[in-house]
Parts: sequence; C-alpha cells; structure tokens
Amino acid sequence: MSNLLFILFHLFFTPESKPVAERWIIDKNSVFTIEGKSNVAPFKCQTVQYLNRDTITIFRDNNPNTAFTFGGGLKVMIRWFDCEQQVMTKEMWRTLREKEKPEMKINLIQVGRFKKSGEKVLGVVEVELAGVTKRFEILFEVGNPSPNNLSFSGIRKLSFSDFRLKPPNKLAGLIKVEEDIMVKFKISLRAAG
Amino acid sequence: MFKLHWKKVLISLAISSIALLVMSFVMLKLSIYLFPGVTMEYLSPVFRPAGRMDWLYYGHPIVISIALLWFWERYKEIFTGPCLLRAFEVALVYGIVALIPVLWLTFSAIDVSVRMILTWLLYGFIQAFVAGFVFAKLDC
Repeated sequence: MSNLLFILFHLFFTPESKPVAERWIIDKNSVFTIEGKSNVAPFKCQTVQYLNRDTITIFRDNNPNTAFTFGGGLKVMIRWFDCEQQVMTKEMWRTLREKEKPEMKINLIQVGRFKKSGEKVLGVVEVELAGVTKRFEILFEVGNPSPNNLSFSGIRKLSFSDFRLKPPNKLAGLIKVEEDIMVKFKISLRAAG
Repeated sequence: MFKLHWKKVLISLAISSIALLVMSFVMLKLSIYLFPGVTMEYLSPVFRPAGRMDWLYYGHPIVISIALLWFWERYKEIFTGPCLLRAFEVALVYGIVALIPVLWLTFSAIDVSVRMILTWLLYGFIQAFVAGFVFAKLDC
C-alpha cells in the first residue's frame, strides 16, 4: 500500500523535466550540394551561401534515451544552386520547378543525442521540394568546435522521382541525366544571443 | 522537267535515310566522347525535353534525304567526276546555300554557343556528303 502511495505521489507531484530550448542561427556558410550524372558527364550543383536569416530551436531533453528534437528549418532558394555551367544551372532550376516552387524547405525533425564533435548520429529531416514533402533518415556528422558553433553534415542518395520530378532528358532520350542524385549538405549553426 | 525513275528514287531515299539515321546516332555518341562540354549544352532549357515530339528527331534523316534527293535529281548533271568528288560538291553547296544562312539565323535567335553552331555545320556537311555519296553511287 505504501509503495502504491509512493508511486502515485511521484506521478502527480514530481515536477516534469521540461526540455531545454536553445535557439541557433543558421550560418551563411551552410552549403547544399546536388551531385549527379548524365550520359555525357557528371555534374555538381551547389549553393554558394545561405542568405536567409533563419533560426532553429533545439530541444534538449534530460532523458538520456531520447533524441534531440528541433523546431524550425531552412529555406533554400532553388536559384541559389549553381551547376558551374550556365546551361546545366538553368536546366536544374527548370527540373526542380523553380518557377512554381522557388524554395526548398528543410526541417530538421530530430537528431540522436551527441556529446562531442565528430560523432555520427542518426537524424530525421523533412524535405519539401516542388510541392512534395518527404521524410528521410540521414546519418549526420556533428561538428561542435566551440559552445557557440554547431554543424550537421550529411549525405543522402535521393531520386528525382522521390519528389515527382523528371530528370533532364533531351534529343529524344539520347542525352539524359540519371534518376539518382547524391545530396550533400552542411548546416552550420551559431548560438543566438 | 526532269524525268524520275521512281524505283531508283525510292531505293536511294531508303538507303540515304537509313545511312543518315545510323550516322546521327554514331556522331552523337562520338560527340559525347570528343566534345563533352558542347554536348552538355543539349541539356539547356532551349532544347525540348524528350517526349511526344521524339518522332520529329527520328524522322529528320528522311526529311533531309527527300530534300537532298530532289536537289540531286534536279542538278546532278552539274556535278561531274568521281563519286566522292560529286558527294563533296553536294555537301559544299548544301552547306553554303542552306546551312550557313539558317545557322546564322538560329544563332541570332537562340541561346546556343558558337561551338555548338559549328558542330551543327559540320554535322550537316557530313550528312549531305553521305547522302550525296549514296545518290552518286546509285547513279553511276
């Protein structure tokens, strides 16, 4: 009986441990890269700078078994992608339907708990591209060189068809881009305030 | 008016069309290896994506063969000498009279590089040479 009372007491009167919310500013050094192949040559499209002033919030729970959850995300303008060749850049913008949906939204949903820089943790991101939203699991490498700087780097194989897009295909299919692309990114964050 | 031998005309047309179709594939594959930078330009948005209009591309050897065959049948008497020379002259006339003005206009209107225009000029010249050679051989 006394045990039951003890459990009930703790259930109702122990203060709930709320996760600590930390605000981070997305640094302009954040980079996104799309690497792919055509039957002519490989190509690489990269954002030069992250020009939006967005913030994300990391909720750090005290429970050592739960992942860190995130609020907010990034908005990458499709026009920031530069493929080194003007024709490829324009075609990539067209393929990603830049005119209808000019931005790609990336929301960090959660990242496994990490303690030190260089650690690899599994995370979940939600990507909205060309009007289609998909969730992906990604293995992140955490960079935490100082208390005020944090970065998440990752690489993930995606397909154009994941977002109902058609890869460039010209001259009756004689010149074509392969369906699979590698998306690499580095999200750099600095502590707000 | 010039007199047509329809059987010979149809055979010439068929051989020329097949030869040009095969050549278009071979030359495109060659350009991928020899001029990848120029070939990448075909991914530009100025070029139509593959789809419903593909038959137009695959049909172009027939169109060129018909045009060149008409030209050949009409003016073959002015091309004299061995087959290779006659074919070369057909290609030269086609290049100067048809290709250069049309490619000039194309370059003025469409965002393609000079290098690409030059590959089209070379491609058209070789097409006319191959067709001219087929016609000259069958005419001998």
